[in-house]
Amino acid sequence: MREVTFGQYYPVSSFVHKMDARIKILLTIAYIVAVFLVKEFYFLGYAIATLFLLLACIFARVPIIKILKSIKAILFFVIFSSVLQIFFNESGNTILEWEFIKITDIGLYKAGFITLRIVLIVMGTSLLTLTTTPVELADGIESLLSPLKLIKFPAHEFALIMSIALRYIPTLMDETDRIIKAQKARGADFESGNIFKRAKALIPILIPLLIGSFRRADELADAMEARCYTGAKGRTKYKKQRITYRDILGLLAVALVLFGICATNGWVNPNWLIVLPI
Amino acid sequence: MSIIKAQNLTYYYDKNSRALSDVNIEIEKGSFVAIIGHNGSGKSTLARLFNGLLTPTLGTVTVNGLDTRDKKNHFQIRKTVGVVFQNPDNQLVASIVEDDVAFGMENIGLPRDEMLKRVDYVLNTVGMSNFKTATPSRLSGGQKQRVAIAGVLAIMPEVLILDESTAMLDPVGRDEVMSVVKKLNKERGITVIHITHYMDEIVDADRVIVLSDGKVVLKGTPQEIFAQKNRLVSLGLNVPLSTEISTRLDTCGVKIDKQILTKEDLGEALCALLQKA
Amino acid sequence: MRIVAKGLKYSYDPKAKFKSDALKGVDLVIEEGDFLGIIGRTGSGKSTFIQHLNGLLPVQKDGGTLLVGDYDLSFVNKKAKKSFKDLRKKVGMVFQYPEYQLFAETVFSDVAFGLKNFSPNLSEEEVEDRVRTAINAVGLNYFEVKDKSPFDLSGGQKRRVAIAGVIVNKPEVLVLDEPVAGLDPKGKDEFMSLLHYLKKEFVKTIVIVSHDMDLVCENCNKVAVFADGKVVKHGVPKDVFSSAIEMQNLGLELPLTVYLTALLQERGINIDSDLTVDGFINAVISAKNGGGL
Repeated sequence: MREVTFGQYYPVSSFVHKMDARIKILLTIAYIVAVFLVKEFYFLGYAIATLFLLLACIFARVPIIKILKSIKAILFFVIFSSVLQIFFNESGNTILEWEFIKITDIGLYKAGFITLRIVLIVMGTSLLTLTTTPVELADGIESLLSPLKLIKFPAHEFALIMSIALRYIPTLMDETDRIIKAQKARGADFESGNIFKRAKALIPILIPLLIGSFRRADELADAMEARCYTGAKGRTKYKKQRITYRDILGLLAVALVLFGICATNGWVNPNWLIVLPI
Repeated sequence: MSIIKAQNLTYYYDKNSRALSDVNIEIEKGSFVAIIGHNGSGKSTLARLFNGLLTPTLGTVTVNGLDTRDKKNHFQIRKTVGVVFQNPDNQLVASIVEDDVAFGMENIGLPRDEMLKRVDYVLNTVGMSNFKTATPSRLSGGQKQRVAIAGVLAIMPEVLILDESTAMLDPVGRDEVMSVVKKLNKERGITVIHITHYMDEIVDADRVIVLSDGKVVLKGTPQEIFAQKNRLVSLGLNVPLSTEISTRLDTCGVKIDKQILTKEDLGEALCALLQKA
Repeated sequence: MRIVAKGLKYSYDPKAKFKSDALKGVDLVIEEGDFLGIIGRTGSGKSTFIQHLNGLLPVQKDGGTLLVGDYDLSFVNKKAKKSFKDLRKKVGMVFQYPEYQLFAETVFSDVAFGLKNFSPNLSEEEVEDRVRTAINAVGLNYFEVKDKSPFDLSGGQKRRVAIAGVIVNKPEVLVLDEPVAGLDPKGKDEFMSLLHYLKKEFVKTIVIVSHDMDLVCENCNKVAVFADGKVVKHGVPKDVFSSAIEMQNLGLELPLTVYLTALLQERGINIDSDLTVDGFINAVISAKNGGGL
C-alpha cells in the first residue's frame, strides 16, 4: 500500500529529536509565554526569540524552509490581522490618508509587531511537531496530564484514545481510498455538480466508512479485552521517558531567552547582577 | 488433562438466534485442535466463549477449572487463553511494533525490565525482531498477524486460539503464521485451537472438531474426518484437494490403498501406482 | 473488447528521488472471451494493473499505452481530462471484499446505484427490469431480497448483491480482485460457478486476480503471471505452469495438478492433461489402463 506520512514529523536523528517529549512540550509553552512577554515595539525581544529559533533549527537538523512552510497554513490569518491593525488604528502620525482610510506609523508598527508574534509562535510550535513523533507527543501529554488524575481527569484514557486514533489514521485512509474507487467504478461522480450535489455524492463513501469503523472498533475492543485490558488500574508502562543532559541544556537555553526578553523589556535591574558571585 | 472444558454449552445472541447449542468439548493440554465449519456455524462464537469475552447462556465453560461466568475469573482466564483474531488490521493498538507487543504486558502489570526482555524474546520467536520499531501499517498481513501472536505470547498463555487468523492472508502469510504456530505447539507445548476453513491447514492437527449450525457434528483425527468426504460436503466443507483426487480415482476403479491427506502423500502414491503399471 | 497494454508503467510517487515503480512495463493482451487469471505475489503489481483497466488509475506521462476496446487510455497531456464514465460502464470492477462497499437502505437501491449513475435517462420500469435481472443473475431471489437492508444479509449474499450492482450496467468485461477471499469451501465453489454462469450469459470477458493457484488452474483459460511490476508469463495454464522450477523461483505455489505432473515426470512417467482436476484424473486413469494393457 501507499505510504502515508502523518503530521509533519521530520525523521532525522538530532539533539532536539532525542530530547524528552515532556520537556519539549513544556519548553514550547515557555517559549510561547516568552514571545507574549515582549513589550510593545521592543523588537529586540523578537530578535532574541528569532536567534533562539535559528539555533534550535540547527540543533534539530531541520531545514529552515520546513519551518517557514508552517506559516503557509496561517497566512490568511496573519494578513487579516495585519490589515485590521493597519486600517483601524487611529493613533500616531498619519502617513497616508485616502477617503476613509488612514494609515498611521503606529498602525504599521502594531501590524508588524503582531505579525511577528504570530509567526514566531507558529514556527516554534512547528519545531515541536517536526522533531517529536505523534506517539511521543501523546505519551508526553499523558505524562504531563497525569497529575490531573487527582481531580478525576481520565489522563490514561485520553492518551489511549489519541494513540489509537494515530494508529488507525493510515488504515482508515487506505479504506477511504478503496471505497472511493469502488464507488467510482460504479459511476459515482465526486467532481462535478453544485455543493449540494457533491455533498450528496459523499453518502456512498461515508456510510460504508462509518459502518467499517464501527466494525473495526468492535473488533479492536474485543482484541484489547482479550489481551487483559481492564483500564488504567494496575497497569505498568513499557515506555520510559528519561531526562538527559540535552533536556537540561534545552531548559537553560529557554531560560536564557526568557531572561533576555525580560532584560530588553527593562524588567531586570542591573544591580541584581552584581549580587551574583561571578 | 483437559485445559478447556465446555459442558452443555448453549449460547443465544438474542432470544431468536441461537449461535451454539449443547456443545460438549474438552481441549487437552498441549494438543493442536482444529475447529472447522461453514461461515456462520458458530466457530468464532466458540472462540469468544473460551476466554470469557462471551459467557454461556446455558451450560458452562471452564478454563483450568475456572468458570467463565464468574467475572472475577476473567483476568486469570485471559492470561491463560490468548486469542489472535481474523483481521490483522483490527487488533494492533499501537503505532509501533514493540509498543503493541508490550500492550498486554502493561495490562497485567509486569515490571519494565521483564517487559524489555520478553519483547525481544517473543519478537524473535515469531521472526519479527527486525521490525521492532516498525509501524504496523507498513507491514504485510502475515507480518501483522505474527506481531499479534507475539503480543499474545508475551503474556505467556497456555492456550493460543487462532480465530480464523489466516483467512485474510495470502499463501505466503499463511505459511508464515502456520509455521510459527506449529513450532509453538511442538516446542513450547502451547495448546493451540485453530479455527479455519482452509482444509489444508488442519491435516497436522491432533484432533478436528466440525461445527454445523451451532452443533458439534463430527469429532476425530484428520484421517477420520477426511474419510467422510460426502458428509463434509453436505456440511458446506470439503476435503483437501489431494484427498479429493485420490477418492475420485478410487471411485473410478484406480485403487489407492493409503489414505491421502497431503500432496506429498498423493504424489508418492501415484508414482508407485503408475510405475507398477 | 480487446485489451492491449504495451510498456505500461506506473509509480505511486513519481516525484520521489528513488521511485519504486508499481508497474515497470506491462505487456499484456486480453482477448475478448478470455477468462483470465492474474497471479503473482503480493506487491507484484496485479492490483495496480487492474485499476488501470477502467481508468481508476490514469496512465501516467511516459507510462506506455493502454487500449481497452475503442478507448485509448494512454496519456495525452495534463489538461486532457478524460471522462471515464462510458468506459467504467463497460468494464465492471469488483474489489476485494466488495460487501464492505454497500451503503443503501435497500438491496434494490444499492444495485440500482450504478445504473442510475451511468444511465440516468432510464425509465422506472427499465430500471426495475434491469435490477431484477441482475439480482436474479447472481443467484438471489429478487422478491425476497429487494426491500431488505443489504446489511441484514449473510456475508455471501452481500457479496452477491455487490456483484449484482456491477452486472446491472451490462459490462462487457468483469474484473474481480480476490473474489473468493473469506468464503468457506462451499461458498467458494458456488461463487466460481456463478462466475462461469455470468460469463456465459452476461459478460464477454472475465479477469480475476487470485492467490489460489488451484482455483486459477481449474477455472481460467488464460493465466498471466506478474512479478516485480511486469508480466513474466502469459498463456494457457498448461504453458504457463509448464516449468515448475520457474514458478518456484517466482515464489509461487504450484497448482496441485501441476505439482503432481512434474513429480511424475521426474520419475519418468508422462501424464498429459489440461491440468484441470477432471482432466488430470482422466489422464491418470488412461495411463494406468494403458500401461496395464
